[in-house]
Amino acid sequence: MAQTEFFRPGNLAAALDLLDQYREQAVIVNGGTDIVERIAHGGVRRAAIIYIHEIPELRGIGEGDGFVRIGGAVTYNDILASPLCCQFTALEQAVKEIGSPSIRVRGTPAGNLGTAVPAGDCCAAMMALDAEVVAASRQGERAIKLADLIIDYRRTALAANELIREIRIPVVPGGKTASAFLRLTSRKGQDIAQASAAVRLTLDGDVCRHAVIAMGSVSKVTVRAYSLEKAVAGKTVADAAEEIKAMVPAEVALRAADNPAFAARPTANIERQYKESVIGVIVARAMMTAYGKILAGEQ
Amino acid sequence: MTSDVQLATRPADVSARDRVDAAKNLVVSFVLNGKPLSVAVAPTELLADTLREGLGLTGTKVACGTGDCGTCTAILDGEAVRSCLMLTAMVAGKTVETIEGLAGESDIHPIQQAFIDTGAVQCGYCTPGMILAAKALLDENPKPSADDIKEAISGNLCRCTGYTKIIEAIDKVANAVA
Repeated sequence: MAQTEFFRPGNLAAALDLLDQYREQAVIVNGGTDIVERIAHGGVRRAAIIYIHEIPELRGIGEGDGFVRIGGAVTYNDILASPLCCQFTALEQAVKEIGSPSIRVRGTPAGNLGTAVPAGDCCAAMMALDAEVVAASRQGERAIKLADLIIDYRRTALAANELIREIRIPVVPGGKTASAFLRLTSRKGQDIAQASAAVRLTLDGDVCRHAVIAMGSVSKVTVRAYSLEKAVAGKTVADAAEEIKAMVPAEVALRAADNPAFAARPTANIERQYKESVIGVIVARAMMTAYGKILAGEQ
Repeated sequence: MTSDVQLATRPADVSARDRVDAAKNLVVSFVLNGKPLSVAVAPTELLADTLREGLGLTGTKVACGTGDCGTCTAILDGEAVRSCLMLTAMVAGKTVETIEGLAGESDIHPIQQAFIDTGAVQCGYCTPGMILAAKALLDENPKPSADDIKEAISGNLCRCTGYTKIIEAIDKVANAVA
């Protein structure tokens, strides 16, 4: 392969031109906390490195049309410094857990979504918050819901000439709705999730009117737990939490038939049993945290 | 240790020999320890490698090579970053500080002195990263709480000291009587 070239486009249009030109032969570098290691050690070799982290159009956080809009190069630290973003408790809690301060100063939610690994904390939080991304290319833009964006392990529905220009989180009127994120790790800090859950809960009195539940690290992709969402609807929060604690959601996919790569690991059986036994508890705890937020009057 | 659902794609050996071999055809200009410089690098070259191998500044260490341990910490435009997770090309036009930039001609930096005085150095491998993480903190927040200090060094691993002396050393600098 020809020599790799490094590009630092100064604006979005220039970045999209480069992406359109190089397509599969390009790798996008944003904060770089995941991809740089793979580029430097040869895991990812492309003709063009397109560095988008400093493109001004990708750095903003704003609000409009019922969404909070997070630019594609906004960092985790930017999220934590933004009251607009921190109104979404699940997002704030997920971002606080990611890496270390030196990672959060560079890493980006858009990069987390684009990397599409099942332990991506932002992926679970954003999915429960019903977020979508705006994918931009030279040909135009399209909105993609997270469940449609993440299609396989480290694979997204983004075309080779598209990048994530913006993430949009719908703003839900406060009072009866709140969200939370919880994960289980081997160590307290700087670890990736063994199992994680993000919940956005909407109450009707003391009853779950609607819950959006996303789970991480229990499948080859971040998944919506539709089975749990159905199980909790119409029940009191306490009853719902008690019930799902003991459940293995149908969307957990760690068996050979669903996930051959996982099942081939020597410790797969033990890991599977562990994850299956904790995930219900993690979801239930996240749900109770969201419930507590509603009672406390936070969104 | 891997808790990802599929096998980690991380290479087992992250020694310099395994790094992508590419021509140093890109000239990157930045300010390093107060002095502007231009250096020819490969587009896939890590900042940690440029510092250590290209510029001979071996105070920056590389241990895990995957952003977990913090020994490669450098300060980029005032913020502590992982030089093992940055391509050198990404720092064009920026200001980089390494441990070599801290000492003056006759004196070492107060944080360095505090590490010595407090006994915060044992094997020493984490020390440059710890001191730079501390410097980035104190430049931003001269009077940090104990929790602020713990948070600031939470991405820097030390296997010798148990952290207590390191936290004491940083606190000593922050709360020194001027």
